[in-house]
Amino acid sequence: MENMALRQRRWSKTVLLFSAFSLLPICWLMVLSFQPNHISQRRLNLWPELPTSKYFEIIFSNPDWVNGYINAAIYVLLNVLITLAVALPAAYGFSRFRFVGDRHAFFFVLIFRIIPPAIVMIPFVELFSSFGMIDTTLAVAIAHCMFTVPIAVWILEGFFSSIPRELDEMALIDGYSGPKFFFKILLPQMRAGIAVTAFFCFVFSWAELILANALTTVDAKPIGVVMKIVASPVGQVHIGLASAASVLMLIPGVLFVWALRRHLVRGLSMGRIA
Amino acid sequence: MPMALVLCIVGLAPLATSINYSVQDSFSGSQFFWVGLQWYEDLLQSAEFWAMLGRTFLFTAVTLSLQFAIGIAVARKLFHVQVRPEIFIPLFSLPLLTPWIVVGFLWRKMMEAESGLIGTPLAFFGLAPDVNTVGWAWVIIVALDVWHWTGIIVVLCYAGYLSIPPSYFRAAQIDGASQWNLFRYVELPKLKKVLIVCALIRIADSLMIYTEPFMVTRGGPHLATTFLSQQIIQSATLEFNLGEAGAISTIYLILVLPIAWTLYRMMESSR
Repeated sequence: MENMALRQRRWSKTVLLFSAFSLLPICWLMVLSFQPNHISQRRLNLWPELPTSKYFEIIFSNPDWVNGYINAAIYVLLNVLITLAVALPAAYGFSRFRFVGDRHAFFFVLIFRIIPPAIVMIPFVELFSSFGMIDTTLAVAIAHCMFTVPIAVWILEGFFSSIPRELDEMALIDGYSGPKFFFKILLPQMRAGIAVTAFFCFVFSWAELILANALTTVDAKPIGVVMKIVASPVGQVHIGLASAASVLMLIPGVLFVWALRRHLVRGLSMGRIA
Repeated sequence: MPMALVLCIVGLAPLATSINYSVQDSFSGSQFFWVGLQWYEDLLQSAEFWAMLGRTFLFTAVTLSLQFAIGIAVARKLFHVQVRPEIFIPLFSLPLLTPWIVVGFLWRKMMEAESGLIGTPLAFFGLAPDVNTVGWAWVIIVALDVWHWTGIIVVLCYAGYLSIPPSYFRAAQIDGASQWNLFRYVELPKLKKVLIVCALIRIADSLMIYTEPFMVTRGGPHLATTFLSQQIIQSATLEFNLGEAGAISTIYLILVLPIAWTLYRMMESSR
């Protein structure tokens, strides 16, 4: 960025304002989660008054909440794994081989991203119950694949295309067979791409609720669903519990982005997206 | 490739089922009989359906223009003047990682006149937000959506800026281009592809918004914030009207496919 070398880098007002806009609600949510209910209902505080951790204690002492939390973590993880396993070979295929109608097939993969979860909810329930898979985390993970795989194929295709084809040929000459080449040579090159893909899968799968709710009844309920019961929009909302649960739901996302932060920006700027 | 095919089948099967529902009527949820295009005729003649569709598209248009304007402006500042821009990327992704149900809960609470983060200052000026009026319901949901999703546009546009070769900026500087001209003739064309990608992702998500308005307004007042997805879910699960839900879904897909196809072609040609 030598172009701007003449101008001093500084703190941009626009950026700071936008950061405040993005972060204030989340900080305030934390305040709510540490503050007794009767105070949260009466006045606005930017720092917890009479701080208490009792809502977190209630959550951790109730196995339903903890299980919901674990369930969500399991299906998100499953979803990321399945998505990568399915999308990596497909993206490689789209990137390296030309076949009849490949551009159309690519678009065809993309449109699954456009279908609202609401449309496929009922058919999914029927489909999975006929396989006896209702109320399993695997069912939710597979259902989410319908949305994460298209975007994953699409992002990864860009990354594969940015790796020169000569690499394939050279590895072949050096005696690397198909799978060995894929895991030993190609995958390490794709680290940033995989990070970006995992980010998008995570954003969708962690935040989605409609399908997760419809496909689970008791055992595999994610915490979001549990929360929906406690924090129903009509009637009395339990502010403290709901905010404490919300804060807990934010933590995995924060950890995830923090772990991927290096790869994320680099990956975004070199792949399909930009 | 075989894996991709398997997935298409997993995705296609529910879709076909949904279209299949749309030409039948269900009786006590398990017996189906053929009604042909009856659902489509009913829907296309219903003013309520068109109003709902119009609302959904209007919502998408409003939120997308706001998000793009803010998103591009922030990404531009981030790239040109901000100290250590990379630390802001995880910050801006925070709203993206917030589960949708939490977003809905949080914004509803924020708007409360007595103790909400936004509601209290506004009430101080005599502008207490009221979810039960059409105007406020819209303002709240639009603000919520802008908060939730502008981050992704900032992140993607920033990545787009990083991929512009520095020589372009040097050339513009030597030519003495004004900030506006720099943006209009150098940056915008270079960002075109990223912006199309953003549009594709955001249009799809925005048209199918469900959880947040449901949490904040429950689709009210009356039907003022009932969007497409909510209508489908309501038809399918509360009224158990699979035929109608299927027909709405099919009409939606027919309307959205050309948009997606156009954007896809634009993206391919700008490569």
